[in-house]
Amino acid sequence: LLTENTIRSDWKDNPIVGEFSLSIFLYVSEEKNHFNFYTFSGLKEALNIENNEFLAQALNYLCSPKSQVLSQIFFYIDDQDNEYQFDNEEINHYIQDGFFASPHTGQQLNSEDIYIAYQLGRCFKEDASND
Amino acid sequence: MTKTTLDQIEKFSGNSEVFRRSLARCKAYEDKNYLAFIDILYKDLDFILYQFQANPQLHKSSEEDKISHIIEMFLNTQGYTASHNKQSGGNVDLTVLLGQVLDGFTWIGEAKIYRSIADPREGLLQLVSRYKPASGNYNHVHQGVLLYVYRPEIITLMQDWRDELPSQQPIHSNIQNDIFNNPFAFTSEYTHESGVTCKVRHIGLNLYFKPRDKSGRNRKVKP
Repeated sequence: LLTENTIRSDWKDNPIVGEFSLSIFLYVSEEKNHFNFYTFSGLKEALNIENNEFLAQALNYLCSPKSQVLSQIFFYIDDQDNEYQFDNEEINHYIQDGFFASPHTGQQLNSEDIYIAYQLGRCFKEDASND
Repeated sequence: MTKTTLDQIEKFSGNSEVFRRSLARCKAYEDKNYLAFIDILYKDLDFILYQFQANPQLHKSSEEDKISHIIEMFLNTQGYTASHNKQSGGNVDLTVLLGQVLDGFTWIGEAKIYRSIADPREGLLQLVSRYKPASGNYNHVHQGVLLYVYRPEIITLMQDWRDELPSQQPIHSNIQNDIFNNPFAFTSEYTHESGVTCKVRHIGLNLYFKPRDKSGRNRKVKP
């Protein structure tokens, strides 16, 4: 799937994002760094990345169908501290309409109340199934 | 560890729409939905074409290859695999793949500088007569003609081309206004020699730039 050359070639015009993409790719490729999920701030800290915008671009790229290195998960924590992870249908709804709805009331949730995290993508799952 | 909100990610990505487009690409691929792929690809194409149109002074003398290359580079950073001048039954200007070769979706387009009506005619002829889907899958029936226009009145030029289409071979029918509301785009259909009905989006890119004020006339733009 994704290679170092592809990353560098894709980001020829913006090598900083390319370097961030490559650093994340190499970091999550190491088995000792395989976790259930990763946070934006955790990756930022682990890889010593300062620029949020470039990091977001790199993560969006690494989640893409071309890379499949990571995938996003979205969740909501209610007033009782219950965590609720949104499913595919709810993500489709967000893509179409721009917001998530409360799993309890169906009402529109503010994007400040939705959290995002990342998990290993299909390329690692396929690697594992080929072992 | 600090949790990052959707609001923050949307802002870091540019805005909500940019972030949602990145998710839409993933969903189109995961759901194996070819029409969703076409929908998001055309939104992405319009996004980059609008960037050109916002800064036509930067592309005053660009050749079609250079513009196609910038489009290709942009698409590659958005998670497509795009290439230009790749063989697919002939010389196709832009080939786009979403996903992996064996199970992804493809789209092909032909790009021309619109100097006269002969240019879109030639572009369409190349697309149609040499067409075979880059994936080999004849369900992938959407194609595009990109017309780079350095002349004034692109609306009239696109209308001229639209008026010509019914007399082209193969005959183009079902000519429709653009569903993405790009004022310089429209769609048509034709029957490929395989019998498959192909759908073409004709997209004009307005690169005309001729400031009339004194400072505009004297300004030299760095390439």
